[in-house]
Amino acid sequence: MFALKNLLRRRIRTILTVLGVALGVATVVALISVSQGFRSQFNTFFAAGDSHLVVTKKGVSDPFLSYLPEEIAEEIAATEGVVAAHPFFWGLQQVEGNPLFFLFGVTPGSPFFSETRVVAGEELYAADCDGLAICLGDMVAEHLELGVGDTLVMADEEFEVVGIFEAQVPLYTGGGLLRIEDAQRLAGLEGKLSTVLVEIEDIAPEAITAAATRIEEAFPDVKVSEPTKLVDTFDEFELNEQGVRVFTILAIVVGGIGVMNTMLMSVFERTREIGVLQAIGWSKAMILRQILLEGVLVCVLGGFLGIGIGVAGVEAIAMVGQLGWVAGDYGPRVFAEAFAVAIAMGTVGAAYPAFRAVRITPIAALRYE
Amino acid sequence: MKDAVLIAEGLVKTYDQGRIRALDGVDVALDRGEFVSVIGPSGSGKSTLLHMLGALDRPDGGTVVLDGVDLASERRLDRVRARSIGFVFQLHNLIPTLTAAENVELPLVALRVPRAERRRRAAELLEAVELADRARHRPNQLSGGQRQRVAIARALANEPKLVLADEPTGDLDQAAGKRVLDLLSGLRDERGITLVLVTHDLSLAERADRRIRILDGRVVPDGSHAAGS
Ligand SMILES: Nc1ncnc2c1ncn2[C@@H]1O[C@H](COP(=O)(O)OP(=O)(O)OP(=O)(O)O)[C@@H](O)[C@H]1O
Ligand SMILES: [Mg+2]
Repeated sequence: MFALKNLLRRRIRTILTVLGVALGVATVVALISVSQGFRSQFNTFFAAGDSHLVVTKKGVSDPFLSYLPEEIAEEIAATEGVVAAHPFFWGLQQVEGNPLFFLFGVTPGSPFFSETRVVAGEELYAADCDGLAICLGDMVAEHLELGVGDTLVMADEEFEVVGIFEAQVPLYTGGGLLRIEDAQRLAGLEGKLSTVLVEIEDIAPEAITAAATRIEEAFPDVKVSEPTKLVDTFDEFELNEQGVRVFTILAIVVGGIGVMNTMLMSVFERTREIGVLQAIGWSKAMILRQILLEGVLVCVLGGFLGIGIGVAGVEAIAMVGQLGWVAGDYGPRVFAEAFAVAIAMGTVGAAYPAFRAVRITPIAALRYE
Repeated sequence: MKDAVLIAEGLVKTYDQGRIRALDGVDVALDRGEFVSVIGPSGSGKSTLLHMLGALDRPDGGTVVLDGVDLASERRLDRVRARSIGFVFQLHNLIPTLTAAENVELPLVALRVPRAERRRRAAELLEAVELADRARHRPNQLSGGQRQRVAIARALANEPKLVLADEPTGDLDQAAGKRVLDLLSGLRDERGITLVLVTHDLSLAERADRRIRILDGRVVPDGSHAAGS
């Protein structure tokens, strides 16, 4: 009550400080939720369907940079305990009106199909199409205003849209499914695969681990992951996390300076009052707590506001058609971090003003006019 | 000596690296329930003396024993102030954002008195200073005299043994000043408080049981009724 009343003395100043904190928190919320969202999308990328293991090239930092020789799929298929091995190729293509268009090159019977549901037209390989065929995710189809039978031009090649599919994972719906050889050609990587999706016979956890080990032993150049743990094995996502960390610390410093400025002015203005409080028995510890509390209160308000702004911002970005695959993941971690950031700003920002407040002696304050 | 609540001996306080001797060997003893006034010209050391007696500051020499506690060996002067002392200053020094009642509660916050009990005591004290109807007013909605009465209620909130008032009527007109003093001395009688009043107003000083005259940081014999000069 007392803390709030002190803050309300200088409403504009307090509001501006709350806003400053909120913007910092909002940025952190947006960064974390988008990167978490990206991560969980990748982790669910192959998780549905029947692929039990995902094979990528060993030592690459990013799943998009994984290239394997085409023959490897058949060799893996011949490994003991493996039921099937499906080549898969992914790439990014520029098309008019959409700079980030995901291509998923698949083979007939790929487990990838089980994660999509055709809502118009036909499935890629079921369609009766003599030329180049593509199935579009519903989100990108809507954005590009394409329907079944329309033509999509990529790198001067004309693709007929044979089907539209929907899927749980926003990344899918922002891309297109096409025959693997077409995807390879468009990327200029004929004869290369991104990954191999492996189905195995015995799917008890220890059998999966054993199969993974067998494949890795037989093919020294590859890394075998379980689909839900795929991204955890890539450095790129680790780097991304570190980037978020650095930015979070920056936000705390910048927001903290704003809080410090406000609280310092507030302490100086209240020199006499702080002295009087001490004269009537308040201890230095109570004064310290009071100032810290005020700083943290500003930041908690800023934290709530920042979470709102951050979530609204991410959702606004996701509504921009071409970035529709951006999906914020608003797990408890995002909110926990947002609050941790807010409290950290408050504590960092109020620490020095609180220290100054404690150094005020009642005698000096009473003489202070 | 009767039942002494405070004994100060040989108090010395210097400022400006010893160039100013604000107190220069002052002895004061206060009996329980006594009303003492302190007079003396401006700059003679009256406020400084009050600060030493009220554990607001430490003397450079001499001792203060308050209710058997030697303040020199007491590390937490804030606790002494919280438990045993009540201050009234020339300027009311109320917190402008808090209501009268909330201001009165502040010393009880320091003592961790539960909220309901704080409320009850604040209401009782505002009643005692005849401001029950102004409990929810903020300081800027009160007159100078009313503010000073709130400050008196606040000074009494922790049921102090010793109330120290430094020119509490200094900013008030004659009538309001008299009312404040009536209240203070009435509460002293009622509650058995020891009251020290610093004042320039000799007619007010006269109402004390005893007067202490300070000159250049020393206690000098009080020319008593020959005052006025
Ligand atoms: N913090 C300080 N620094 C330097 N000198 C001080 C300080 N506090 C008090 N003094 C000096 O100590 C002397 C006594 O001051 P004090 O305030 O006790 O006088 P006083 O009797 O209360 O005067 P007044 O009637 O004007 O209030 C004065 O000379 C004053 O200038
Ligand atoms: Mg004075």
